Amino acid sequence: MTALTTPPISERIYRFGQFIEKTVFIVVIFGIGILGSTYLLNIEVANRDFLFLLSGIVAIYTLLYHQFVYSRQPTISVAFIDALVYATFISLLNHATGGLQSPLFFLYLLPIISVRLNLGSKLPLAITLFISILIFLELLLTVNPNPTSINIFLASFDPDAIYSSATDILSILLVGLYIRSISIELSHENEQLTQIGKLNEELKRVDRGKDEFIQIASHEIRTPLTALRGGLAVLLAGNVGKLTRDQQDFVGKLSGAADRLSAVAEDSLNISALEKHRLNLKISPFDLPALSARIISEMQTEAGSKKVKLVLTDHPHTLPKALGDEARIETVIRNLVSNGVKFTPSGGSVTLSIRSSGGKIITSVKDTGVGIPPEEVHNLFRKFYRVENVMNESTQGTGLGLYIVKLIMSLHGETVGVESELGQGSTFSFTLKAAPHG
Amino acid sequence: MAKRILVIEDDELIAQIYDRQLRAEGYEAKVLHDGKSAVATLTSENFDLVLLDIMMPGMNGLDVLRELKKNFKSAKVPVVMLSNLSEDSTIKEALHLGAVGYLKKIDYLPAQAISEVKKFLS
Repeated sequence: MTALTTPPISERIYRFGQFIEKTVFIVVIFGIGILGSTYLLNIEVANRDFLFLLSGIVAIYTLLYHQFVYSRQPTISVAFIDALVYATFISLLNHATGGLQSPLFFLYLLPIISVRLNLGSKLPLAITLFISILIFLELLLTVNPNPTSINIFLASFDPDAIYSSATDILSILLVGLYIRSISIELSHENEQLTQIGKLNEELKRVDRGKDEFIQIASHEIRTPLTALRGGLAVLLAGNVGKLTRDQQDFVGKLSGAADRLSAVAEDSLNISALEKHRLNLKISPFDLPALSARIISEMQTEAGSKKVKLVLTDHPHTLPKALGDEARIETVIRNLVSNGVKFTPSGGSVTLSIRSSGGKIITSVKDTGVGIPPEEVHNLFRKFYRVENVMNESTQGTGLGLYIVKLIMSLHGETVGVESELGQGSTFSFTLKAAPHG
Repeated sequence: MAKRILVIEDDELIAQIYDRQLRAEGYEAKVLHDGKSAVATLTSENFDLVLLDIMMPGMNGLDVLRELKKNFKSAKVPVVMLSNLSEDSTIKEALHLGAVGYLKKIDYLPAQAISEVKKFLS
């Protein structure tokens, strides 16, 4: 399991939107500041500088806010600082541009606060609409403060005032919609971030737990198995007392069972470790023919008892060293040779050959065994898969050998190939990169 | 004179199995089940080789190794780790602390393990 790190595309698009929004916002605020100061220029120079400073502060504040607070969980203090800054800005701007159209404009701080407090999308929109209606009514009443009847009220409309009020209302509605959209995005984002955060923590915890589990399980499984295998071996050797032929035969069989149990346990534990990449590969150049020769000589006894010949073919002397993790490649070769021996009847042979081709070193293990039915080939490398016993004799295995081979090779970034003909035998081969000469 | 081998192993059954195998092969074996008594024994008695487990309650094998190397008398005895821990980092640490060998217990039958450590018995 890997932890989630890359944000989803929708979030990246959203962040890009935020960037555009931020830029536009800062430009607008500076623009207003400059306009206001130009207006003030005719009255008093000192005030213009003050307004520049004010606009600059609000712009920087907005930038910092968007950079550091925006996507986090909003808090009451952030909401109030935000509202305070905007309130100061609105009042000074109004003061600079010749007075307020309406003090009700200050009510727009309410939707800002509710957005920052993440109170959902409906509340800011409702507040905005409510304030818009209030301001509209106030504007109408300002145009004609004392309407005596509805006719006089309508007749007294100044077209400029209507235009101005309509523009105000339109912009107010846009502000409301804008706030609503931010609010929705904010709440979604917060929800997603919280969920991703929780999931991440959970994954890390499970991962650590699995690591520890593998380590402890390995040790705790191995300890009784060590005692079992060791004890049976000591018993069989007659070190606890001489055994009768019958007893020897019986303990020998028990010992075989313990060996198989131990093999399954080791294979499973190795897989857990490999799958977790805990066994970091130690890639270095090594002498593949020398390793093969050692494995072949060590496995002669095992093959000899089945009357299967093990052969290592001559390799060209110019063969470069192979790049890989020698200990893991040893496991790969041992598993492949052991499989070959297992599925080859008496009198047959298993041949290991190494050659190089185009910067790669190819190792093949060819047997003269029973072969693999074509329909079974794609199942071979599956965990716990065992080819049906076609030899009609006990071919014991864990069904993990080829899976481990595939796992190790895929950690090397390489693959394992297989060619087989029923009754003729099979050839398994894997490639490794050749080390540069020198 | 028979070579003296000290087996430090908390699992009594495994310790007993090694004890029997060692005796059958003509060694003089002594078995201890915890790190603390092992350190005490090694500073007062002479041994030709120590087989040392790692996962033990209280003082673990690596702690024991560290202590042994501090003492002039015990520092000279070759120590072979015999543990079922197989993490590279553990093996590296043990060798760094001065163990002459590291055998993964499950991979060796007692007779095989003993034939492996024979080379350290000069």
